[in-house]
This record gives sequence, structure tokens and C-alpha cells, in this order.
Amino acid sequence: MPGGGLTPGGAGTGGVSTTPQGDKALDCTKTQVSAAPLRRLTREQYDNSIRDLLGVEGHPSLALAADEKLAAFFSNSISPVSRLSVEQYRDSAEDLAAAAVKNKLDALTGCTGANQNAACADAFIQGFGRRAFRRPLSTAEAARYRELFDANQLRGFGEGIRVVLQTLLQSPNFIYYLELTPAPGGVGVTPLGGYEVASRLSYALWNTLPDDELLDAAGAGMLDAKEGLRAQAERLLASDRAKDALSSFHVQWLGLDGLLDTNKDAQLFPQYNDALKSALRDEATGFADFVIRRGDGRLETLLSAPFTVAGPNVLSLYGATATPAADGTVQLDPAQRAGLLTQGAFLSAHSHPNQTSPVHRGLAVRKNLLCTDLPDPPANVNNNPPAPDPKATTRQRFEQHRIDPTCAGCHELLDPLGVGFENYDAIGRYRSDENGLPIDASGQLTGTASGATFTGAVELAKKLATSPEVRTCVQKQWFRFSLGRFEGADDACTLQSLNAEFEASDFDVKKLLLSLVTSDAFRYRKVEP
Amino acid sequence: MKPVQRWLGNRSLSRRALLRGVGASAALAPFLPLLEAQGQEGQPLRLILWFTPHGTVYDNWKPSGGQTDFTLSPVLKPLEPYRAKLNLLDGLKIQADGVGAPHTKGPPLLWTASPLNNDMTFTRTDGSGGMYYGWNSAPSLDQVIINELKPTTPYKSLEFGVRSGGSHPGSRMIYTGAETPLAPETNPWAAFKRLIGDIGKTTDELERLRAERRSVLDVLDGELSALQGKLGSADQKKVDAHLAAVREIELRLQNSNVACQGPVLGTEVDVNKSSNTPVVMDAMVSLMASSLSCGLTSFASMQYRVGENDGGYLYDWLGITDLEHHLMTHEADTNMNAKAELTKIYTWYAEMFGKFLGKLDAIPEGAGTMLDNSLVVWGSELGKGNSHSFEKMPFVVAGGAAGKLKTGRYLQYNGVEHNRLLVSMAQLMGVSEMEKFGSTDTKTGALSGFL
Repeated sequence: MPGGGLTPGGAGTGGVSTTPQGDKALDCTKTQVSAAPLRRLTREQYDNSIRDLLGVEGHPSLALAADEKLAAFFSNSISPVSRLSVEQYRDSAEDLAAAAVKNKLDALTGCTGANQNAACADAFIQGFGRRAFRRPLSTAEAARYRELFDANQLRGFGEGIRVVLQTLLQSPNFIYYLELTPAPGGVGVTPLGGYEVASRLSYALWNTLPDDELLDAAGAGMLDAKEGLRAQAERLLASDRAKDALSSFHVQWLGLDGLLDTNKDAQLFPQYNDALKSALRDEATGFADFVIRRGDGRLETLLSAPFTVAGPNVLSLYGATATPAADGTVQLDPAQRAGLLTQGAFLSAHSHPNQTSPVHRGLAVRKNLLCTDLPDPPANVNNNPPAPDPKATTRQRFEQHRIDPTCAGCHELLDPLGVGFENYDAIGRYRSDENGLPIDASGQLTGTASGATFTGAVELAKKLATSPEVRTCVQKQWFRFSLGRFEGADDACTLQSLNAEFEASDFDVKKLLLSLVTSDAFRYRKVEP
Repeated sequence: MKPVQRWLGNRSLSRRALLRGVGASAALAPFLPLLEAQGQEGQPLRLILWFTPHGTVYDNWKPSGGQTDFTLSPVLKPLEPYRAKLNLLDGLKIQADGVGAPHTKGPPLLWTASPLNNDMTFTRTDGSGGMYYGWNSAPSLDQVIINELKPTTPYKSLEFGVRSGGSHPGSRMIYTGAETPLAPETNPWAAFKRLIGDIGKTTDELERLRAERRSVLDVLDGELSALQGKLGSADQKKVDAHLAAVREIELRLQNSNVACQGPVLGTEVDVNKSSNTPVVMDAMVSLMASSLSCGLTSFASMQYRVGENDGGYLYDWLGITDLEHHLMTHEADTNMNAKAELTKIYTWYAEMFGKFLGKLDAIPEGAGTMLDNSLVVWGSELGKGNSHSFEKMPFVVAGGAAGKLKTGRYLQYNGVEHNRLLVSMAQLMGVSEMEKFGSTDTKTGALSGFL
């Protein structure tokens, strides 16, 4: 449906205004939230949870089926697990449990020597089970696991523990976000239980399961009121473990999840190897973490700072020569670099193997930063980039998009943004000319209220960094990431208060996260029939 | 789930004998069997669905010559050793009804002949965006046949894939029903361990493992059952499906007695790295053939890559390092360089398909080989990339379906819908009453001149 559905930054055809600036006056006197479908842990969340439970690093989730994706973010909330998935969970749990019992039975259970008995197994079931399920086990549940231990401990204490462990790791209580606190009247909007909030909070801010302190706080009812919840959220964000969630968000938001598997033409870009790809990704995630947790936290800084936190191979790609400051930051040429969008990860991920892509770069900005979704291109177009031509710049080669009216409708929203990045080649190196031809990196923020023009990515980045559309979009993106679902009609009040608080904080992303995790959408659920 | 009958119409039970064949003899492992099968009435008939993405270069795919005196095209040349066991079906089309971009709806349409749900599952809730479709609306042919024949093999079907992407309609082609895709296993080494890992274990060890797994499944069953009544209906459906899968596995533990010599796989490599694809493909092909020959299942599928644009995908092992495959398919027909490179890719597809056929053909079975007792169907989600055409679909059928299908033929059609091929496949597999398949089907019967 070319030409349809182009409603930049705003609400679309569904008739639901989710924009804080919407015309409809919202009645927020009653708590409202949209339904949150049952979801399973993402692969990353599974890996991180296993790491914290068993103390093993790795990516066991690679053996599981791929995650579902809702727009930019992974969330397993649509289709049910298949029979293969059930077996993949089993195989993974069996392997992990066997290795854990073999390598660290004592450390895992705290039971040694004569203490390797049923009482100690009970303690393990309660303790480990509470962490894996993110809530205490009921008496009946604990008894069931004890039976399992008893049935298998004839072959040794470790055998009993192994079978218990592998079952806990396949349990629906481990792999799903189970939110079961009933609503008073059976259906309707109701507060989540303390442990359910703790689980949401921990996966949102750490991308892993809660630690004991958070579970204790949940058990003591300290997460029931906003203040207590906010205090725990601040504690979580202050911890280095928050880096996992911040990294995960930025990788998905900026479309970097495929970066490590991108390939470039080896003749043109011999230096684009695995080490460089990892370093580029680390730059983006390290920089975001630095700004949000150790810097001023502001969206504007994320999108326009003339400094970075990066390894030597990335700095040499940028031609940066400044000495790192005490906090690890390195100043870059402010005429060449400004925040996340001018970093090599974003620029490489949205380029072709042998040339840049104004279309893909523009599309990433349009979709992920401005929250405009576009229809698919018409089925019969040649959407292959014109072959590199030493006698023309990339911009000139893409002129067809502006000339041909069937292309211009959508490409008007892409190319004028994307050409702003033409001073960076397909792996993110700065260039002032292309094959000796001067680069024209002037463009326009089409489809936005300001419609501002700019020259070059630094100016573009600065304009985006303070654009109202980007500010609104970032709120939605964090909403989707942390709740694993799209915002719905009944989330309008949450979005409205988020927007007010974000503005009051001078657009501090860290504050946005605190607002989000204490919002109604985060603390309540809608119980459906 | 929609009732199967809707897709099948009325049918008799005339396939009893065949059914017994599929069930009882499935435990026979022609590949150095360790256990004797009892009551063998005939070889099991297998159905294998094989997928490769983005169509073909038709000019270089189209065979020349007549029905039996044909010459294989450059793309199909690697299939020369099996020429006498092929049916090359030229000129079929897919009725690509419904929502979704061609690459997205193509893989589900291929084997379900039914469109994606128009339910906005993959849509932003405010309706302003990009992706306007749900999961597929109906089961794939293999699952419908399974539902009819009710095979007693340890696995009803096995889904295999290489680089099969995310969890999305464009990356899922097998469905047990509406909205219930079956994800393929993409790691041959993990699959080997799961499927054939029992080899070498003593009876005691096996019995202990099964008892242990049963006890675990018991707990999981209890925990899932306990959620009953605590969830909204949409969430309850997911938990019910999970519980059904657990019970199916429980059941499998009760009657699984397969043991045979497994394949020898090469050293494990990272399956997520695109340059490892040929190595992974080799291992997967071996594993698939063994799974079938060991009687683990009689229904298998191979999904190589996805219908979607899986970006950045270079065929560096074919010397193609400048353009992604998907983008290359968008080149105009007049770009001879792109045509040559695409031809290399599609020829490599045929080489991989040929490798698999070679494995089946190397296993003696009855008077012939396992390939003779199989129906292997190779298709794609598109005919051609630049026009996203669903015409001139490159279908290749291999194997004689246990003598029911004439082979060594090049059959030309002029835009006949692929529903006819799917119906023929069901009839060959023993669902003899099927006349229609898929909600796109407007006609009846088998593909003329094929059966």
C-alpha cells in the first residue's frame, strides 16, 4: 500500500491517539492499562538468568528457537512454544544441570560432607527455587520438588539435586513472566503482586532476574508503593548490572542486532573483521551506558555528544588522536562526530557490503528514532542500489527516487535524512569526498513538524537530539522494550505522564526509566476474561 | 485450530494397509539396523518438503527437450545423477492471496496454500505501521497428512533448517494449525544429540534416562495444569499448547524404541555465522537422511534461510562478496553480471538438494533405495525476485513414492495453481480422498499428467 499509513510520529489509522499532544482530553482519574500478553524470557534474558543462577557465562540460549520481534524489540509474546522448543528447553536444562552438579555442587547448594542430606536439599529447593521463579515456592511446590529429589537421590545427593535443578530450569515459572495476582472482581485493572513487579523491574533494568535484595523488598511489601519501587529502581540503575539492559535496548533500538553477522566487501574494507565489529558494537553500548548512568543522562547528549568511549581500533577508524580522559572518554572532532548516529556501529549496520545506503540509514532514523512506520516498497520495483560508479556520488546515483513519483512518496521520508550521513563510508569512516567528487550532505527533516534543513550528520544529529518527535518516540521505544509489548489505547495516561516527567527532567533518559518503572502501565495489569 | 476436515472433505479409510506400513515398519532402520522390525508390510513412505529462498533464474532453471528426453538446465545440472528419479514441474503458480509482503507470505503459502491471518498480530496497536498481518491461517500439507495418517513414529514430523531466521511468518513454513508454526531446528549437532544421542547407551541407561525424563515431565505437567483458570483466554491457549507438547513428549518416551547407527557429522561449527553455511548444510543433510532412515519420523522438512530479506547475506564460498543475495534478485533481467551470480547461488541450491537425494539414494530399501520410497518436493516462496512473481515456480519432485509416481519426467504446465501439486502429494502419501487443499483452492483434483 504505497502512499498509505504515513503519519509521522503520530497516531495512525487505528483511531487511537497515543500521543500526549493528542486532541482528545484524557480522563486519567481511573487507572487504565492495556493488556500485557503472557510472554517468555528472551534469549538474552535466559542467558543472563542462567548466568546469575549457576554462575556460568555463555550463550546457552543459542540452542533455543529465535525470539519473536515486535517492531524493534525482541519479545516472545505471540505464538506458543512448539514441541521442538519444549525439547530445546529440556536439552539445555539437562546440560546445564549436569555441568553445574559436576563442577560446583558444593558452592551451588552449600551442602558438603554429612550435610548432603534431605534438609539441605530442602533449603536448596527453597533458595534456588525462589530465585528461579522470582518468588517463594508454595509448600506444595516445594514438596513436589522434594519428591523429585527423593526419587533420584538413591544414586547420590548430586543426582537428586541435578534432577531438581533441570526441572526448575524447564519450569513455566522460570521461562514465563507469570503474572497471576487476581483482580478483585475477577477481571479488570489490578495492581501486580510485589514479586511480579520485582520480576518486571529486574528484567527491564538489568535484563536478568532479581537479586535477593529485590526479592526481599518485594516480600516485605516495599514495592507496593511508588516510593519503595523507585528506591529499588535507583539501586538497580546504580549497579553495573544495568549495563546489560541498557546495551540490549540500544542494540535493538539502533538496529544493531545483526551487526556482528554483517559482511563487507573484503577488497574494499579488509579491516572490517570480527574484532572491529565487536568493538563497534561495544562502543555504541559502552557510550550509551556511560551517558545514561555516569554522564548527564540526557537524550541530547546521547545523540550529539562530541566524545565517545571506544577501543583503539575504533578510535583509529575515526582518526581520533586525543588522549582518553580519566573517566575513559575520548574527545572526537566535533565537526565529524556527534553521538550514537555518527558511530561506526550504526553507520555500518545500515550500509551495503560495498557502499553506503542513504535509504537504510534514513529508514533507521525514520522508523526507530521518529517512530514512523512505512509500508513495504511496491513488490515489483528494483530496490537494488545502483552499482557504484566512479563518476558519480552515491547521492547522485539515488536521484531516481526523487524523480520517479512512484518512489518519491516514501523516499521523500527516507533519502533526505539518509543523505545527511554521506560523509561516512560503509564502515563509518569519515570522508570529505567520494572518488574525488565533493559530497553534498545537505538534507531535510521531512515529515516532522519543523521540517528543518541541515547540512551533514552532525547538524542532523543535533536537530534530532532536540526534536519533539524523537523525544516522544524514545519514550515509546523504552515502553516497548521494558514491557515487551506495544503501547495500547489504555496506556495513554501512562504515556502522558511519562511525557510530562521527561520534559520536566530536561529529557534525562535515566529519569525517564524511573518514571516508566513507576508508571501505571508497569505496576498494574489488566485481567482479561 | 480449524478442523482438518475442512481441508480434506470426506474420505474413506482405504489406506489402512499403508498406515500399518508407515507405523509398524517405521522402527526399521535400513541404515545398519540394531533392532529388528516386526510385522513389516512394506517400506514406510516418506514426505520431505525442501525450501530455498527467492525463486530462481528461470531461463537457467528451465530444462529443455521433451517429457522424457529432456536435458537438465545449468541450475539443475547437479541433479544429473538422479535424473531418472525426478519430476521437473515447470510453469506452476502460487495463488498469493492475502496480506503481507511477497517474501513474508510466500513461505507459509508454499505448503499451506492459505494466506496469512489479516489480524494485525504483527502490527503496532495504533495501526500506524508497516507490518499488517498475523501468523498463517491454516496448517501445512504435511501436518494435515500426519493428522490423517496418525503415524506412530517417535516424532510425527521433524523440522530442520539452516539459517532459518527469526520467529516471523516469513521465516516459518510449517504449521500444525492456524497461528501455530513449528520452528525448525537449526543446529545439526544439537539435533543429533537429541534425536540419535541414545546410541551407545545400554538398556539400563536408556531406561533410567526415560524414567528421569518422565518424572520431570510429570512436574511440568502439574505446573502447567495448575495455571488453568488463572489466565485470560488468549494466554490460556498458549499454556494449553505448551501442555500438549509436554504430553506428546511424555507419550513418545513410552513407545520409543528406535536405535540405529547415526550419521557421522563433521566437527561442530558456529551455525550462526553465514560463512559456515556449507559445513552446516552438509551436517544437516546427513542428519536428516539418518533421521528418516532410522525411522524417527516419516515426515521431514528443510528450510534453508527465510523468505524475508535476511540482509547482509553473502555467498562468500561462491566468491560473491559485493551484494546480498536478496538485493541481487532485485536487479533488472538485463543485468548479466547479477544473473550469472544468481545462477551460481541457485546451482549451489541444487547441489545441496542433490546431496540430500544422494544420501537417500545410497540407502538400499526393498528392491530399490530409500529415495524410491520417498516423495521429496523442493519449492521456493517466489518464482522470481525482481517482480516478486508467484508464477513459474521452480518445483522439483524427487523419488517415486514407493512406485506410485512415474519419474524421469519434465512436465510443463501453463500457470496451473500449485494447489493441484499439493493435492497430488497428499494422494500419493495415502490421503486418497483429498481433492482440494488450502483456502486459496478454487478447483479440484490432482495435478493432471503428474499422477
